[in-house]
Amino acid sequence: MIITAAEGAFPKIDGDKFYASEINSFFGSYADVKTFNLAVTNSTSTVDLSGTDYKYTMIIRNIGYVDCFFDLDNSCATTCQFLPAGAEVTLNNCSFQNVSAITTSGTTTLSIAVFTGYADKIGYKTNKEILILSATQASSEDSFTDTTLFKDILITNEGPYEVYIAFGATAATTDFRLEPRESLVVNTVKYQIAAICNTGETATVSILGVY
Amino acid sequence: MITYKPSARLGTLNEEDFTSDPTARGWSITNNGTGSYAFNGTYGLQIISTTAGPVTDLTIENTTTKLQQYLSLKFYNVTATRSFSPVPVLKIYLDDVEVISVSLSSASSGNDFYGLVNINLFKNTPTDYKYNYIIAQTSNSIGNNNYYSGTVNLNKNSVSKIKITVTSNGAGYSPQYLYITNLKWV
Repeated sequence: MIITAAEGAFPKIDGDKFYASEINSFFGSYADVKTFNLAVTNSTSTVDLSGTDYKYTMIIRNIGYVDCFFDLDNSCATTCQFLPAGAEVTLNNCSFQNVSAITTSGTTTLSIAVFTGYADKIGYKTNKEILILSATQASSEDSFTDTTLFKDILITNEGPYEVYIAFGATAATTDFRLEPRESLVVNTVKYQIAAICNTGETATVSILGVY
Repeated sequence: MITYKPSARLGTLNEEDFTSDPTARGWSITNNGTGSYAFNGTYGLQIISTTAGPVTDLTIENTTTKLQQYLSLKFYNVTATRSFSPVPVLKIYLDDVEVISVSLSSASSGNDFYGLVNINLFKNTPTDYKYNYIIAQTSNSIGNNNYYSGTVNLNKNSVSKIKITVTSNGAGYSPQYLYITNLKWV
């Protein structure tokens, strides 16, 4: 029996279909590329993408020299997803209507590229959740509201100290280590994320889940 | 699928010589000490300590851009510090963390002091600065009227506030000047 997983839905399992739009995205082939600039200050600012049809993939790059935070389909606060100066995140197989950003202080610019196809697709990710973990020497945990779907997850250590990440209820200092300003990306159905720091240290961890 | 690329660039080199009031260039300067400061057209930000119990507590902060990844400090001393007792102490703080403390030891005679010559600071975390510095030999050619510089490798972190204090609570030749002549950052 051929299982027909939704277009744009991952992971695939044996027997699933791959759609042309998915294969095209692997090769970076798109019908068009729309580009935007977002001037970011310590007040939330937003770029509206709703006028762009058939959005498949989006690149967000912080081209300035000030760290910022960004959100999708929402206004942004400094408790949103951390994007260090010079860093870039690519969201594949997703379709969001706006990107907002903010700095703690100072200004920067987001360069945004939206890659489009020829028609509307189904199965593309339009939901997101952002978790903020304040890690200490005692393990702390947060969970996505959705506990059943696979999510593209971006975990970024805002610092100031290194942190250890586990996909479960409890983290230990033998788990995956993230240095300050480093990130980890994964697609998983795991919905619990735990973090812990070394003794006497703390770190803020921002976690973006897209599904 | 999410793909993440960290910053691959060092960024552009910025430079401030403090030869004039840098407020309009995005700097704030706060003096919480009893000493004073001024802007010298040749030597930069002048930290002035007078004789009787003076303490300078100067915070320089770039209000528009975080100082990132790399920092270079250059000092200039033009006034004798001899015969101060206790000797003046220069301290440098990054984001309120003391990263260096150096006694500006004065010679018993002459115009020299044991100066900062080379500072190499390596920062792993904001409270884990690793540094070494070399105290210059005292001689008539080193100390007075000489530049001392050092660099700070911030190792992927960043700071936004630099605080420099010169404490000279003893009596001696007065006033004494220490200049922040050049600050470079990426």
